[in-house]
Amino acid sequence: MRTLLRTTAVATTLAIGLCTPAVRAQNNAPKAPAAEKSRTWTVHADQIFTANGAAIEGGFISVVDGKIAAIGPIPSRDRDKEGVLRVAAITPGLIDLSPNIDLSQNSVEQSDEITPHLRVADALDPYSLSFDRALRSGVTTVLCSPPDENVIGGLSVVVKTGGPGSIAKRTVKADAVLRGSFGSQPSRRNSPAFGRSRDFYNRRPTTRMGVEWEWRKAFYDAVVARQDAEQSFPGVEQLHAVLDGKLPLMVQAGPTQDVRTAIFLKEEFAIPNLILDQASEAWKEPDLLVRSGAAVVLPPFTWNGRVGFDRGFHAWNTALLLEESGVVFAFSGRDATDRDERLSVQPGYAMRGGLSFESALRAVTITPARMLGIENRVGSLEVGKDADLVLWNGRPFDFTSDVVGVMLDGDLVVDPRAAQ
Amino acid sequence: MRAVERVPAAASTGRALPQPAQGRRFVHLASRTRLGDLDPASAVLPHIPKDESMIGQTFLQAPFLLALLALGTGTPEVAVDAPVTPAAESPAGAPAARELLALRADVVHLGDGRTVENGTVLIENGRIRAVGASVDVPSGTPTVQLHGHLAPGFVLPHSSLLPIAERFDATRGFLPDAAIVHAFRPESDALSKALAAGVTTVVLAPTEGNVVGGVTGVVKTAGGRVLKRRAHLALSMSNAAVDDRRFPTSFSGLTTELRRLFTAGEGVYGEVKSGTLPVLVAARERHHVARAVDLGAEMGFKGALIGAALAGEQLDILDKSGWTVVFETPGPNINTRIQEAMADYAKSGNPFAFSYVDADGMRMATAQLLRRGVSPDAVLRALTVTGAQVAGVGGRVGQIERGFDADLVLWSGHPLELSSAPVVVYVDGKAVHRASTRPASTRPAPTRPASTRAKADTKHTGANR
Amino acid sequence: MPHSATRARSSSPLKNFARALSTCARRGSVRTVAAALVAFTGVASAGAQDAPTTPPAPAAETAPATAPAPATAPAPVRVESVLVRGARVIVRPGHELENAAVLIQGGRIVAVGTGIEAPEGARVLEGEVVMAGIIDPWGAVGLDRASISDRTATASARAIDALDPYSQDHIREAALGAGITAVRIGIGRDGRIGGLSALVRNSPRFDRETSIVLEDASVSAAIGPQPGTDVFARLDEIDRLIAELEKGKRQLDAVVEYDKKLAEWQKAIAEKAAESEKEFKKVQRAREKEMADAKEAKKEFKEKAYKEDAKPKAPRYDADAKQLARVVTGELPLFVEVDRVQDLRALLQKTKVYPRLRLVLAGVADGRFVAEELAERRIPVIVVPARSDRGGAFDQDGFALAADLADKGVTVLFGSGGIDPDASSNLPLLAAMAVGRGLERKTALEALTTLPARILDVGHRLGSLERGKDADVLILSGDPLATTTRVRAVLLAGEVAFEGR
Repeated sequence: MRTLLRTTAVATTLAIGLCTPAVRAQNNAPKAPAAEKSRTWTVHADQIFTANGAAIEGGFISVVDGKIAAIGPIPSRDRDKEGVLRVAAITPGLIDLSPNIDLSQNSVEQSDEITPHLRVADALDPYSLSFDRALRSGVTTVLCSPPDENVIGGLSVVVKTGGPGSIAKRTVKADAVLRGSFGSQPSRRNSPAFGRSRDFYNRRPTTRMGVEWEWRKAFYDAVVARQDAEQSFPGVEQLHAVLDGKLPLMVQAGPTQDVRTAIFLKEEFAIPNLILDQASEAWKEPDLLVRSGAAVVLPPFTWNGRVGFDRGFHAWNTALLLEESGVVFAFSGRDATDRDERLSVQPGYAMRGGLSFESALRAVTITPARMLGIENRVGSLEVGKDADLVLWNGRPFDFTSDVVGVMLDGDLVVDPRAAQ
Repeated sequence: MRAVERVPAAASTGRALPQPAQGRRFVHLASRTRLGDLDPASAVLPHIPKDESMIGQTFLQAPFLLALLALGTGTPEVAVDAPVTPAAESPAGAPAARELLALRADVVHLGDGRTVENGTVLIENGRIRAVGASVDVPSGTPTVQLHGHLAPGFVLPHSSLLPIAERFDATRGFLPDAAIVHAFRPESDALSKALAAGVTTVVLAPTEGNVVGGVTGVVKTAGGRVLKRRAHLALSMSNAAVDDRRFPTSFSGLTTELRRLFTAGEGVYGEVKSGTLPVLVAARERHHVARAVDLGAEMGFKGALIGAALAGEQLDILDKSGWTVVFETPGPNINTRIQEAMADYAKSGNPFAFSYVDADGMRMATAQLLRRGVSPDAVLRALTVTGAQVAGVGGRVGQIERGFDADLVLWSGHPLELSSAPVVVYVDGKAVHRASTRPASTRPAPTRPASTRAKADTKHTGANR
Repeated sequence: MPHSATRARSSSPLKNFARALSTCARRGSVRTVAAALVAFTGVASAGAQDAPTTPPAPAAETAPATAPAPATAPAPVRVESVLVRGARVIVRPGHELENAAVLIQGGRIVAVGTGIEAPEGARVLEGEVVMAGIIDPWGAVGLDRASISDRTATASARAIDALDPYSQDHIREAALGAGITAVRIGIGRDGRIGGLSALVRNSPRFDRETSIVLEDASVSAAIGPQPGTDVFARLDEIDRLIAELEKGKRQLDAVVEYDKKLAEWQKAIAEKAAESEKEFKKVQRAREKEMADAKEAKKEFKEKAYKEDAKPKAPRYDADAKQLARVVTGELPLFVEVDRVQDLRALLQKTKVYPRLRLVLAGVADGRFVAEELAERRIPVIVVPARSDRGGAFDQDGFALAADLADKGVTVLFGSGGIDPDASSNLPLLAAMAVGRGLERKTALEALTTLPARILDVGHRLGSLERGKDADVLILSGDPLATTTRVRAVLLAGEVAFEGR
């Protein structure tokens, strides 16, 4: 199980790299332009967890031009094939719906609280080291959202965590969800501007009630604007898309009251598609969630079970409780205080809380992909999908295992052989 | 690399002044006569050695006077050698219609990388008529023999020359109809300082504090004559454009608004989209650059990126992208990473130019590139040809070529050597600036042929065959 | 490398021997004399094996040299030889050789001249121009920021303790790549007095022996280093600086006084002892009588007290005062960062009373106003050409400052300013810029090499390519002040520390 490389002889061969594509590319480097880096690989693993059915024992994945070309049990004739990457386990690249990706310094549009038409894609820094950090820990796809200082912040974007220095070129799905926030964060530290110099926090809303009012007013205005074009405002199209179910709405809602407020809003305006982010106390309202059909993104687990500014209670068994209630959920690596945790360890905590391995795996791969409607490209290991692989040196999510390799679109970003 | 080797040779060895051609006799007029002491109008010459009987005659001849006039009046210390012209050859007078001037220099840099040794530049009515090693100079043309390197005046396609109040509006983020040529004062001290540094043409641009700063203008630094009133639309996508005190305060807001404006395509935005008005986009950090390039691709525009200090780390998106990078030149203390990135970009063969803050900053930035192995030709091209192209006046300035404006700078050594200095600056064929050297008398006698500025003496020859 | 990083008061073995002897004489101990003798012979033989420590006559440079055979040692430690050939070898500014070579053994230059053959097994390096490493007399490479501007530093605070030799590797490499081989680093800019600066080599790998040239290169101070300080506040700072010097002077006086008294006391003791010796019987009898009397009176016997028994007290040990005393005697130079004209005038006026003080002024943005006095008092200045915002608002050209001061006869050095570690690598470019503003090339080169070495009292080790000096050698592709010149290789104490691409 733990065998990384079958024999040292193979390791030597790999190291010398007689026929591994990476090394060949390196040798040819002076002649061939750097862009033509090979993205064709064969990877063997003791176990492959596809996140879409049963695990494959002793399986291989063949990658051609950044896509998965073949997957299955290793044919006996190929068992000792040379030039093959060998690892203990493979999972799909992880997907984080609430990652800790640094936004550039100026990413809050303070001129308004309701800015549904703004795109976070325009504020992202493709060179941010936080992308690289996520990628190296096995997170290959992230949903980047506008900061939660605005009530309705704008449009989130799904991007790969690596690739060229251009957000446009890394985008998996533009305008994936409309992002907003309930609770304390949009009003946190805000105050009226009387008698003060203007600064970031001198603005509305200043209370939780005010935040909720802004939400309801925005959707009310959108409904009015549907009848009367004169009443239109910037961002109304996005709100209409949400109301029509063409655009999922993702809101930050941590403690119970915010979860309830969000679901009441969904029901009042008949919003078809709602995702609750950082919903640490969602487990307290399972019936409401099941009734509304909203999906949940859980913040990272903590040792004392308290998360976010509101100190929501989020024990290790909350994921299990949601699973048993039939609520769709995913894990993430960030809470409202921007505490940064590795996504790859969250399933491990949830499993300590009683969740099964399969459910835990789904909650970082195929479930978030389905929530965003990108499951045709990422989220599971199937022929034709993007070759985003996480290579493990043991059983995934065990605390004694680690991510030793990462492949993104067929590029071996973290080479497991380097860990030897 | 030949040029590299030539540079230190010329600059460091301070090679001896070229001997006058045989058959011409030079009479040394007065050592270290200050031309500024001469009054060309009255032609009263101090310190003329009595025994040089022919000198008075020579001086009164029209060509020499013309040459004197062309050199202006604020002229400091230069050693003057006057030729003794055989009486038979003296011309009747300069033709009134055509104003001709021939400049001969040890090395002429044409701007595009080519050089001519002992070249002659023939100027007619302020424009270059011919250049080369053997130029057919019409008889009677006043000819000035210059010692040093003659190069095109530098053209900097972005500058922060003007006072901040003339370039920045703190209350509004979008000023599409502003035109900076209406705002600047042509006698500005900053312009004459730029001229003294050999910069003859600059683009006046607004600060990066406004998202849309308005329309830039191209001016000559000599007197601030406007070459082009509407040169570019100045955009800013850098941190300074997202101000906490007015819309937009975020990059999302900024980009969304620009997208809306370009999509609507009214006014200047329409001109940009149709290609009639280029853009200058202030983009300092890498993500600013990435955002600008992405938006440009989306909205269909390309232009120059101002700043882009780490462009060398972004060749994956900038290589052959059609954008030109205009590097900022803040001064000597550019950090190592930026210096390396600048050099990498310059070596990649993609076009680049420089922005002007002050002369020392500009020269240090170029020197830092050279120290990191960028070829002097590439840097000189950036300061001249590329600069002019980005400024939108490529066919007119930035090269020593037939038909171009005679904006020339005489340098005491290679123009990119820090130890060289501009000696005379010609704009439209007129010597509009002359370096003010410190009085030689107070300086210790050089022990070696040494300092290149010792060559800063100019010789005037009269009629030339 | 037999050099000590601490500034030795007397570097020659002979002087050490003399000092040891005098100590012996004072203590009257044969054992110490013997120790001194042993020490002397040890040092002397080490000196014989090595290159001579005194600078050689210039004539020796051109003489073709063979590899100097180790004179005595039968099994010498194999010293690695490096031969650096150059089309133009700048032995020192103003003295250049064509097609010459520099032979380096054991980290020192053993021969410079034409026609030097490479010894067997020697590594041979070649380049267009070969010259001595550039010294930045006012830099910050390797120092942490907090220490640079420390408010609490005192005269004995050492920059060497704030040096992190493992940080800023890329900066060190960039500086080496520009030919800067040694940097004087100082701390405590914002304090009353900055403490001991160090002269440090830009070695890529830290090694105490080679990396630290001097632990006590100078004491440094700064007058109103933050722009915008009030003139009275700055004059106050000058007074405080002078008060520190006074402290050093008092310490010095106290030590002199103590030495004098001690000598007197020793003399008195010796005289008394001699006297006692002579009248031994008489004294002994008198003492016995006294003892008997005391016994009879049932009193405790007390030895007779002599006035000579009162040994003079040594002055209280004060680490700061000790360093300040070294400054006042001129043993350590005092580097003062001072820019504005009022400060310059006040400082020059108030330091007149210390005739042996070796003042070096750094910054001197307004130096033109006091150029004559600087020249007359032979006070060297460190100019930072890139700075234009320091002095009063006289709108002066910072790049022309060096030339203007040099014209008036002031000794000018170039420094990078002591704040930004990145700035050191610009030094040759800044010097070239100053040449463009009228400085003589030779003066500029001296300002980069020989002058800082001399002013920091390491002229016998650094700054030029002469026999016996440390082999800090640059191999350049062209003239050191030409912009296009690239550094091909740098040797630090004979080892190749940098090789250009």
